[in-house]
Amino acid sequence: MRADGRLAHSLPFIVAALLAAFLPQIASKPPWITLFLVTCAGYRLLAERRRLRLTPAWIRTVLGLGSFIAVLQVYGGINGVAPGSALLAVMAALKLLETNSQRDQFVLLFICLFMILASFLQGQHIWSVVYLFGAFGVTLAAWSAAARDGAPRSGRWYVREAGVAMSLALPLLLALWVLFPRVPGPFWAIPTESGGANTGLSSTMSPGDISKLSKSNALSFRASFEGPTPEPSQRYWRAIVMDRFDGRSWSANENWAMNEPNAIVPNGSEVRYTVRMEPTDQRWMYALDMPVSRGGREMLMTRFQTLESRKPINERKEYTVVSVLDYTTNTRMQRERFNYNTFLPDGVNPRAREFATQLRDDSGSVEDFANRVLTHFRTEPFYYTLSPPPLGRNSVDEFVFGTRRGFCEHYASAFAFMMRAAGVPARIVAGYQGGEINPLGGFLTVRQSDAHAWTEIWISNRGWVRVDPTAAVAPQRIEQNLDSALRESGERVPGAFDLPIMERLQVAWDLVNARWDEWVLGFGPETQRNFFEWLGIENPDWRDYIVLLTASLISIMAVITVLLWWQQRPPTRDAASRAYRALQRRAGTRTMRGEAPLTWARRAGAARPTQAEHIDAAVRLYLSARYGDEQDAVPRLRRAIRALPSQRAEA
Amino acid sequence: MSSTPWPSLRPLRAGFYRRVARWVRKRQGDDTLPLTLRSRRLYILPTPVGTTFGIVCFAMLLGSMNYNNSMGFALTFLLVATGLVAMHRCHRNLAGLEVIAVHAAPVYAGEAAHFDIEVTNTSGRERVELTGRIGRNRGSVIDVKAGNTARIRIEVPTKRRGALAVARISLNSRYPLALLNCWTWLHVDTRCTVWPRPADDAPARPVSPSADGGRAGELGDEDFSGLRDYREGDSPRLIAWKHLARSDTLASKQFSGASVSTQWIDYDTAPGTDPERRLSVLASWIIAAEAAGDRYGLTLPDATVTPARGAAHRDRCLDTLARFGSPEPDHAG
Repeated sequence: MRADGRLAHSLPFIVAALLAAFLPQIASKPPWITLFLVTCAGYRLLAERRRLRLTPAWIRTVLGLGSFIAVLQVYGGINGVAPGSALLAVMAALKLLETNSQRDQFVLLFICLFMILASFLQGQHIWSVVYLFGAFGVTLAAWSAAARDGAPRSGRWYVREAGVAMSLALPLLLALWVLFPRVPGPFWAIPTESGGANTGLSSTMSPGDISKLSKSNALSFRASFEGPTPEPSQRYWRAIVMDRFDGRSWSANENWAMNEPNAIVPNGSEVRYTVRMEPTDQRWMYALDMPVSRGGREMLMTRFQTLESRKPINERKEYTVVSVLDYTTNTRMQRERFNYNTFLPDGVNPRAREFATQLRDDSGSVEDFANRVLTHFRTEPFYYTLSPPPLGRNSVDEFVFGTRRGFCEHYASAFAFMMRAAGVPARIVAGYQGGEINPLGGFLTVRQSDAHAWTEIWISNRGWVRVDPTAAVAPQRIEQNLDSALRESGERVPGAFDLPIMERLQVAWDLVNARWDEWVLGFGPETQRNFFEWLGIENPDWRDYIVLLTASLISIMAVITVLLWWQQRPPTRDAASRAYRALQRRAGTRTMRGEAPLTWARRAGAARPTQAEHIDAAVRLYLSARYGDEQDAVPRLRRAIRALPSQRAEA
Repeated sequence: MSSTPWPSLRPLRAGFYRRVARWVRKRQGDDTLPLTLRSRRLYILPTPVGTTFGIVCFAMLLGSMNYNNSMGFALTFLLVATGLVAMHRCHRNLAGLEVIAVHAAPVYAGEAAHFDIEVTNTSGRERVELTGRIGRNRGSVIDVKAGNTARIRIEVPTKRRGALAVARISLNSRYPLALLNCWTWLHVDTRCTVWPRPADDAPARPVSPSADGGRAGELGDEDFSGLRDYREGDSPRLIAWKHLARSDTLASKQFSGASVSTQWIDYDTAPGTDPERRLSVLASWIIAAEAAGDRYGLTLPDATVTPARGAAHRDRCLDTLARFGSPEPDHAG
């Protein structure tokens, strides 16, 4: 089968639409897919232009099987968004090769729409809006070209068609966006692979885990406080408590049998704030040390005084929590819990164990002992660094007496180990510390680079007390941020800016992103409900949604109808035509369909013989205004009409 | 054995369409041209592409809900909004269009009849991708600029001599995105005369005796023999211009002479027994006589055309052949 040039006007648009739809996925897909798509598109366009033979069916079959196997090889399956969208791109390329009819073109355009959707499933950055309107606009232009039944029109005409369609659709889009009832999903299980799921905290901590995180500038969550934002040194966001130690790594204990009654005695005022967290595919949530109320029914307060979601968080989540910054926890501990919290496996880190017992014997109280350990960190040449040397089996020994270069998890781990070695219950808390206030939006932005680990030790009359050994080594980490703490060792956090102007831009950009998250990505059943309540509809049910949605759709459509009708109204008459009509009214005789002016004048003159000459002269003025090049014919015609007595006046 | 294991739905569907056609005709009544297409007579339904589009919208809505994907919702809503806007624009594209006339020039049996629908766009906006249908026959697709008049041509094949009657023409457009089809039904009785197909293998035309020799008094064009009143169809060559200048009345010059023969083309002289075959032969004789510049008349068992010549006379003769025996017209649409 040969290309015959019938599709020459629409194929370039369809190729452009496919490429535009695929654009955001280029970076995340294997390069051969992009290459395949571009090659097939190029060949098909050339075939249409040069009237070449289309690729025979057997070649398409071979290419189809080959690319299917290649996708299987790359992704190890076809389930999920990433392999699905890769297959979609391959299908589009193959379909292009065989496209030779209007129907084929529509199939390609539908593939194009699904490619846009697939791009959104793989990420919804703020640029998505530009992408949505851009890619959809090109698709619409291609659609106009493909749907064209008559003789082909210019490319600009198709683009204008798309522009008209989109601008009329925009108000309807807004109404549907705000009013279409949002049902909380999901209806069926979705593959857990939300973007950035693997960057984030984890429920085990070995040396080097958190320093890896600190190299990521990705957003973790944002928080807005109802009152003043707490000082940087008070911003400890707890997420996971790890109290099980296997000699090298700490992990969270899943054993729920050993329960411990929670009792937080607040020593200061409560802080109320709202957190909007990015999806983690995990269940833990972030709360300022110490949370006293859970945000909602879908959340739990664990016995470690951490917040946990009942379901893995695989989409953006917003919740409001109350915390107290100054508190005392339960001052009593059961014997078996005490044993558990002081447990250390035998034989590991003998030097650190020895050192701790020694120090404990020299100190009067637990507080004194803890301070001595911290002083040791501060006075000895310990360094805070993002790239600590690797540690062997006795990691604490090697760190404390050897390398002395480490990140927060090294200090927390070593400190907790020495506490337990001396019989003081200790555990690790992982979460985030600090965050950056956006001066424009007033909210706090916490990134992966703010990930932190610290310790809690149990003192008999005070309960669990937070001790952050990192603060002893690098107080700037706590007072300011990671970047300033690292500057001493000459390191930088990737993506941190120096210039004030860049900093300001970054702040503004962060604000835009926060609003985007809040108003676009976070728009859901809750936001919609708030909107209805703002409208004055308390407790809206689905009927309110339907009524309001239908009413607004109908009114917008009515406006569109009037607009289209207005655009279609006959062109306004020119001055000469208006004057000719005025003459007809004045003379008392109307023209008949298809009657020429001079014929009319004869008829009108016959009806009013006394004015026949006058009418004849006026019509000749009209003819010269219409067909001649006299400049003043129209004003003279008007004067002539005024001079003509109206029929009624004459009678 | 039937090729499909399922009972065919075709009779059911045909019955349904007949019923709809009857209902529409009753609802709209007969049309007289010119007419303006008002909303009352415009119908709109999704095309197959439009139905697929709707299903895709629904699938995308489900997907967006399941993944709770905000931009997915935005895309879905944009699609729905585009569809709704397309519906309005599709309807507006036909509403207010004026249908001026429908005509079809006569054709020979076996040729395609050309039904021309003349439409005027009196609005201030271009009307796009207008087309029409008669039965299964699709018409040309045209754009009509603001204030212009244009023709949609629908070709309908003819089979038999006689007439092709069209009771219903549909005028439609899928503009803007081919998602919806807006159409109207015109109930205008239009006939296309179908002349007999000229026989390719017609025997030579028998020369009637009256043509021989040219008797006295027989009219020719050699020698001037006087003036008579002008009759429509007379050649301008025959008009007596000097006489016109003197008397202000049209008169034709008459000649006598032998070189122009008057022929009678007679049904009875056509060979064969099949009337249709005979009519075909007669048709080819008429065409031959006209081409030869002869004066000729036509004699059929039920009609006679007095001798004359010219294209109009030829057409009159062919029309008479088409009407011979008052055949039932074929119906289309």
